[in-house]
Amino acid sequence: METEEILIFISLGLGVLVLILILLDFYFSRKEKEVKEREVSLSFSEDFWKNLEEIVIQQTKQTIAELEKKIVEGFINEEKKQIPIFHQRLEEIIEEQRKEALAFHEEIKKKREEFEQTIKKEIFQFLHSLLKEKRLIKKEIEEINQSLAKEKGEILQEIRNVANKLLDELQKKVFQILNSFSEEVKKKILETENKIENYKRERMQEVDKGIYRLIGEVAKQVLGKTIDLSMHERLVIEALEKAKRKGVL
Amino acid sequence: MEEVFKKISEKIITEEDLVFFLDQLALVKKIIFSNTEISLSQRLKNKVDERIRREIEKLEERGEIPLFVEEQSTFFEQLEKFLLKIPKVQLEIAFEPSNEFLLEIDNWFKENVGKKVILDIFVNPKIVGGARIEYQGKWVDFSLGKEIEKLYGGV
Repeated sequence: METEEILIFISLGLGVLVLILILLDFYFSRKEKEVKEREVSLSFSEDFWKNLEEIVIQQTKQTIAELEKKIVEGFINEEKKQIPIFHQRLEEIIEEQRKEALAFHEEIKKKREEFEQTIKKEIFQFLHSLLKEKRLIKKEIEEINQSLAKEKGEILQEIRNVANKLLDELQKKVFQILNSFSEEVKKKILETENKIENYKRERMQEVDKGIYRLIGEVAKQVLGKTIDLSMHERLVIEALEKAKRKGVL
Repeated sequence: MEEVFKKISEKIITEEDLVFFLDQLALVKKIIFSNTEISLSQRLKNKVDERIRREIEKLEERGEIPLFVEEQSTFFEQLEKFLLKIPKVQLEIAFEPSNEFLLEIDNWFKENVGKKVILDIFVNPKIVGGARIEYQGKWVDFSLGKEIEKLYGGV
């Protein structure tokens, strides 16, 4: 039972009490009026009236006390009746609260688990993305290294090409300068060289002829005869046999 | 197959013969894969030296050349390798040798050294007679010129 309901019951009890007092006041006023009206015909002793008043007061007090008692008892009975209901309601509330608390606890637990799962999942995804990122970075580094190596090779090649080109140009220029200076000299040297070469060849041919003639003469003197084809062939075969004996063949 | 190769190599005496034969062989290898419905010797008509073509014809008649082109190609590849492995002898002599004399030298090597060799002949009249011989990195001078030089202390 709520506090408000208890207050209502108390207010009602007090209201009833006040109403009874008003009714009693009204009753005694009417009674007094009637007594006054009948004063003519009836006259009572003052003690009578005093006694009556005391009786009424006592009666009223008693009535009020009884009423109060009844109200209180009624209220208590009512309250007593309400206690099990209140108790049951309280238990229900407690049960509801307990259930709610349990549900809340379950929900909290579920939320916590979900949160943990989400956190785990996010951490896993984060780690996965980190690994992926790492792989991508590694790949990029490799690509950068490769392109750097390629660029290095290209730059070196470029330097070589430029250097070769410069050398070629330098050589050409040197040759051009030398040619311009010595074209005539070169021509004369070439002519002279050709003349010398021709003379040399002619002289060598003459010398060869002389040598062959001399060789023939010497061979004739050494062998006692000139060398004919069959003798040449025999000398070759003999040379081969000598080579075989010497272990060359 | 080696016996056939040996038989073919019998006709190659000098370095010039070998160079000529290898050139002809290169032509044969080019022609092998064309017009395969006729025999190889027919395909080679007017494409290679007639002597070579006839030799191939004889080989075909004796069934010593494979029938299928892929096998023929392998046959000639192996023949080329075989010929290139034959050892060479360099002979410096004082006169221009006749074919008969070259054959005689060839036979001399077979009989006395037990090997088929390719003769690389170099004619130099200055050696007067005899020969200067080089074989597998060894060189000897059995020329008459050297003998005369010994006697007269140079010409």
